[in-house]
Amino acid sequence: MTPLSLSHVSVQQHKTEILQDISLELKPGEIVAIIGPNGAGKTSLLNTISAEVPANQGEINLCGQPLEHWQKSAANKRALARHLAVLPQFSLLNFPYLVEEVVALGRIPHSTGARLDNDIVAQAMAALDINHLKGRIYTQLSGGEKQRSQLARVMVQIWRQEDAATRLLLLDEPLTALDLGHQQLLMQNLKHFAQQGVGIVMVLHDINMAANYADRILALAKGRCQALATPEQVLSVELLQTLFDARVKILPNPNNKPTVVLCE
Amino acid sequence: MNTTRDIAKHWPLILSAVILLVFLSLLCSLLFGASDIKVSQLFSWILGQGDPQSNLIIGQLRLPRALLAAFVGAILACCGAVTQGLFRNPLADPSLIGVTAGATAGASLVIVLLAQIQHLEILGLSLVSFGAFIGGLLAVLFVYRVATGSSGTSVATMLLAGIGVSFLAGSLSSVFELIGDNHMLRQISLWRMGGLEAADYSHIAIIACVALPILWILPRHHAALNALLLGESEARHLGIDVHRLKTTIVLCVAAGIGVSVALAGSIAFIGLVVPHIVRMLVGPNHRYLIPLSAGLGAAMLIIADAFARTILAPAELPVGLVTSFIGAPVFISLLRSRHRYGMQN
Repeated sequence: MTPLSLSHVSVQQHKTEILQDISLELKPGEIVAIIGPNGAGKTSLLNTISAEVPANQGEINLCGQPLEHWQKSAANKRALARHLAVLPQFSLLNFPYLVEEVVALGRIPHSTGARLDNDIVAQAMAALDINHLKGRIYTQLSGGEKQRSQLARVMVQIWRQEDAATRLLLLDEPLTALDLGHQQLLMQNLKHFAQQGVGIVMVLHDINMAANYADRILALAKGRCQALATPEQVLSVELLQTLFDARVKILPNPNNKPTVVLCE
Repeated sequence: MNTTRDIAKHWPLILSAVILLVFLSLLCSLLFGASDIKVSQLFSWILGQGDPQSNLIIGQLRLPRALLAAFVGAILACCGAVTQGLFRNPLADPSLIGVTAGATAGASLVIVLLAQIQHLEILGLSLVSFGAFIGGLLAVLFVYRVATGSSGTSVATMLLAGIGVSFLAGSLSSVFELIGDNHMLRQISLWRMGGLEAADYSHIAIIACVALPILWILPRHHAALNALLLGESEARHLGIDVHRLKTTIVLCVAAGIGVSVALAGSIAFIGLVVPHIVRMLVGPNHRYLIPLSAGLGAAMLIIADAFARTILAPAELPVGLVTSFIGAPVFISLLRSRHRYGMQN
């Protein structure tokens, strides 16, 4: 089953077009990276998929059901949370939870019992290299440590295939606060997650990360889709110039992925 | 800092300890007061063999009063805990959404404008209490209506509307004070300080009818409240029906605070300080926070009331003054040490 399909989705807010005619068919296990300049509608697109912002036109299907179906009842909303996990750009949490308590919040939609939940929390914390933060207070962590804890929380939410066959993960700039090594660790984790069949849509600012790890790149500008294809097809000097108004060069890379460098 | 696992493991023990604490403070408060009751007299009263005098003092005066204190304290602390969760602000207080100010305006209105008939009783409640309850309820309903639009209820708007309504109700109260005579002024200011001296068993019945459902409903939403601390959209993404949760909490808080203000006046700081202390001890998990706050709030108000009755005996101090006098210094010292337990904003 496809985790996500958008067909001709448009969104207006306060009489301005935020998104126009976006279509996307996500395959299970596929990673799509959304790139684009500030204000292009990247976050709005994620918000529209997760029903935070209503679409004015077009159809959105999540895990085999139209979006409206998931909003119908409290039980459906809870069921959707077992299929779909969302990591927002900013976190507001300012209560002194322990790190493992924050991660365990991701198990709220499930009724799988405390023992299994604790196991899953421990696995996710190990995967994101935050095991040593166990027993620490969330509000006292550094930005990158907080981000990894929140990532562990959303991954725990859709950790097991047994809980939901079709799973979708939406991430809004998950790399911003992470150092180089943890960026790599996170992307490898996501790749591994995708190999188990989870569909992933993520907003990325680092074009090279998108080139290296995404199966397809969706380039957005002014709410319109400029390109949707493999990194090799999408990343061209012309496109990057129109998207970002930046002067760049594209170099070949030993693993056949394009590498974008800024010109002086 | 205790880890969660420790609390989870010892939870039955901790809960029983708090229930025991409430019972002990109840027993203590039966012993203290203007006239001496000895421990032996208390025991013979418990066994049903007391003399008429101690039967009257314990059974008709002190017990209803202590029970009212227990219910009011539990409601205030419990509602404080969930209000802080709802506003995602550890310094929020139920009075933020206008209940207390609305209730004061309602009580002042009855005291000043309906002076001739204010001793009428409805269901065993004085007209002043009734006015306070209606005033508090109207204020919350108004705040809730203002903050609810097509896209749901905005917590930030609710906070601002609460401040607006509190100002409005405050100036209304001032108008009543302006046109009232000296006796009325005295009545209003006494009412403001809060007191439990009017307690009788009909009051206990009324507050139990409100408190027991609230104390049953609120703890059932512990997981949803935990998710809400992450933020509203995060809670929605965890499958929580946020709109329904907010409505439930606002209704519970309005009913609970409305009734306790109507029966005991405005009693400050319990709703703010008790959840704060509990959070320092066990963390912000509402599964533990709500029941422990209820228990500690009950114990604290029972003890504060015993204090209020004895310290100036045979005269009495309004219990609201006692809780402010204890609560304010405790609160200020908490503010200075909050970085140590992870409260940064």
